Amino acid sequence: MSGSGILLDVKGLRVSFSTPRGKVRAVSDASFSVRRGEVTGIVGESGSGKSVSAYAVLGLLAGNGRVEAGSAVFCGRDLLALGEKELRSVRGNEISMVFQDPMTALDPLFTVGSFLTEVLRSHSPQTGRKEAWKKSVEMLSVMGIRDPEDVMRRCPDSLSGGMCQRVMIAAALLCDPQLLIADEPTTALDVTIQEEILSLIQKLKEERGMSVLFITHDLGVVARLCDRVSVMYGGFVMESCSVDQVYSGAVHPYTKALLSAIPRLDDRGEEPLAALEGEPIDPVHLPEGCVFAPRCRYCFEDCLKTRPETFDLGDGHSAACHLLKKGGKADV
Amino acid sequence: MLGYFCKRILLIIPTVMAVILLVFVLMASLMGTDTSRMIRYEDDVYGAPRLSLLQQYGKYCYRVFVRGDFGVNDSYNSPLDEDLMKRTAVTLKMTGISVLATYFAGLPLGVFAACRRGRWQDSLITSLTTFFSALPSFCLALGLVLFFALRLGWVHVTLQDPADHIIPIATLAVIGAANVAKVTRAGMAEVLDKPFILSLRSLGLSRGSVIFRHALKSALIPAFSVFNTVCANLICGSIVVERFFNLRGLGTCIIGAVGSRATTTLMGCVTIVALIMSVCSVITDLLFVLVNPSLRKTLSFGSRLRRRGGR
Amino acid sequence: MRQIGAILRNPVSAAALAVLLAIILFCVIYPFVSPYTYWEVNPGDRHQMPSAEHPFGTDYLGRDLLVRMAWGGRVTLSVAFLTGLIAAAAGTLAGIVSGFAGGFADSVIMRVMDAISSVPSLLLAIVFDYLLGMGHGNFLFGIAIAGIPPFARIVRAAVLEIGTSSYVAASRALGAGPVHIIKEHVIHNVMPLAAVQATTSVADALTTCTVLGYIGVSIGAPRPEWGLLFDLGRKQLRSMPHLSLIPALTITVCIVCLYLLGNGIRDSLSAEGDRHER
Repeated sequence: MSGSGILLDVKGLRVSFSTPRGKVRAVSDASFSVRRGEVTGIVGESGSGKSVSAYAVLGLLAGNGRVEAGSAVFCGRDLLALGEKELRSVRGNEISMVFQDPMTALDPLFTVGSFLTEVLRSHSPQTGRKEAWKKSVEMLSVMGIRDPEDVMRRCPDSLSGGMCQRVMIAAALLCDPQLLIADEPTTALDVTIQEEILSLIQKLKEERGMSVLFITHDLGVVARLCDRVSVMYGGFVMESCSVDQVYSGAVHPYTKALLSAIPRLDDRGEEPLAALEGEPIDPVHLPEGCVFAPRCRYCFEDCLKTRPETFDLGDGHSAACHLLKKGGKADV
Repeated sequence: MLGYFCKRILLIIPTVMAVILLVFVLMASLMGTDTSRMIRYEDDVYGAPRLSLLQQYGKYCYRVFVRGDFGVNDSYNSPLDEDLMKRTAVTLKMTGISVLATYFAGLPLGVFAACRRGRWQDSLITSLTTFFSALPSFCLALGLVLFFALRLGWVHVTLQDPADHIIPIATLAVIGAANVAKVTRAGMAEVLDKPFILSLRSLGLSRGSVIFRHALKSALIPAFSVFNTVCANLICGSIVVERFFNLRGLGTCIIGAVGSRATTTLMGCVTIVALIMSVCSVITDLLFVLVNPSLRKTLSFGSRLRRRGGR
Repeated sequence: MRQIGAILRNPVSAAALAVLLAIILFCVIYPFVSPYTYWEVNPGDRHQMPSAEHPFGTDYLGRDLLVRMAWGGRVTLSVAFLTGLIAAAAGTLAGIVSGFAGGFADSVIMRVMDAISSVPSLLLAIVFDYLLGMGHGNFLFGIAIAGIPPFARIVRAAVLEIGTSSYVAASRALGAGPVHIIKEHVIHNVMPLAAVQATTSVADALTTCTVLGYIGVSIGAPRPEWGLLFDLGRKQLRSMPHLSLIPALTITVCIVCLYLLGNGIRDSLSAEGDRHER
């Protein structure tokens, strides 16, 4: 399971939405990649553009959204250049997605069985009904559902949230995709159920060699699950590195701010947790310089004038911050 | 589920009986109508035997439900049922066809508008449906006659050929379709914003399947739950259309009965309309359950179908 | 007040309002000005085509159509506005009670609303008129009652939505009683919706009133009513189409104006909402 090759490579992604308030730049410059057999996390607060990036990759943006620039190379093809029909054969078949709120992600009027078999048969029409049913039942038991035959005959409103998320993951994995995009799959669930779903994803990664793009705002979950992390803020990727590097050698002030906002077990409670001052940026009026500059403790002249370029720090670690140009680390 | 619908069908009779009782009591108390006229036979030269109001009511209900006998025409002194049945058939044929046309035209229009939300096709359909559902039916009938009969000469104003009946049916269907399209559009637009549509798309289902198999199924619930109202509107419309085109249906019968104060005839018409609307309400429930499979298991003889609730 | 300004600034709804007001004004004033009356029969002037003397022509009894339209408008429009407003008041009240009380009262009220809306509105009005005595405008009650359910449903849905919102929960937590909540939050939020629905309701009442006039249920001959005038004109559809076209077009124009006005109110209110958000 050594990082053998890059499965999905997103470069310079830019997405905007036209709204009555003006053009909302949800993602201005996002580059991240997912390696085969690894879990890549995208971390950021709400409105940082993490989910939008994932939707853009699969061509699932709302009607007023538009990809303005960038590429998303998956198995030698640029997904952003594909037509709707080709994208449809990618969705669910090669790349699948799992959503935040499982209770609303399933069609309430269809039984789990008819939903799963439809997904399977839409990608391989030659599969017979019985075979599709059998495969779906198998997949549900892989998801750790005890009585899959019973669940197959039920409608989503009679299932619990955790159960719905398992069904959704089963649907996502039914056609054996190479990449699973998980968009905050545990946010809407109870803490105990969260843990079960995380273990499930962990198990899938280990047993099936599944690659996962895991979108979350929870750095704890990142430590638990991910191999690599990209930190996003205001539509820009701030820092990308391996999960160990985040906790041992993060360089970007924003990453550091996030880390210092997490309570630690070895903390005696002598110092208050450092909350990040200020408010998230308004995506209609992006500042001219670094988007994090207004909230950054280390902000200096350059930060307000120009956008920082991304510095490669070696070992797969990169960050976008003017402090790196000065040669020093952020802990000045 | 079978038990539930048996109950609903059995409930039709008490519902209609309640309507008859209401009209009976109101007629006797407010107008001082001699309700005994309603239970007399054509050869009762001396009028009906003296009975209390409740006895008269019981006798009327017995005749209507057991013998299908609606009494005697007040002005011609002849049995009413044959004429009423003929007229009911005319009205039912016309409204029945227009109900079908209403849904066959209204549903696609509503779906199309919702899929083109915010664009000109949507605003066009929305304006037209609002306009036509508000327009008095005789204005529409006049417009259609002026255009198709007098201008183009495709049909006769007097409706000589069976094919000419397309104009009254079209009048009703346009009004009904406008209603249905409005509701379908609203329902569909709401469904298309739901997260499960996104998750279905993310799983690579085709646009056709997402819109017509999944979204439409949810949108059919509001569209079918107005079936009752649509039928009520079409019955109203048929009164006007029958008068406009001089058709011998239930509507002209009601107008005539009101004009000549023919109490027995009016009572018969009210009974038949109550019966039709009760059947429509059962059909509404049936359609509702048809598109909502999760209800099927829970419905039993004693249960009630909840159709309301905040939108 | 500011909302009325916003409606007037929208050219379409301002024009619609102007046309409606012009028609109403005409109906009120013209009968005083005109040399003719609605009841006077002039055998010498039968079946006149429109001319300077009779701008809309005359009917089969030689009565001037223009003055009859004005008199008819008085009847039709006052019935439409009166019943529309009765329905609005009753429906809003029923909706607020139903949504706020919930439980048994709610289910009883909504059952009654279901029952009313499954009765063909025209039949309701006819039966009312028949039972309470014809020719005295008793059909009015039927129209008003038929107009209540849509109001009650819209208001009830809005009340339920407001009732479950966190700001109402917050003001409840601060000790606000139901009267205060209804006054401050519910009325305030429901009024815009009710205003839009009121235009629809008046348009519906106008339709029902003219349809009733058309089938002969009116406030009694020889008083004209737009639907009745249409019916009289329809008999000469081929020879004198203007006799039926003029009433039909006037009714259509009124309904379109009411619809546009409703649209304008909705737009200006949602624009208002946007401004608040910002």
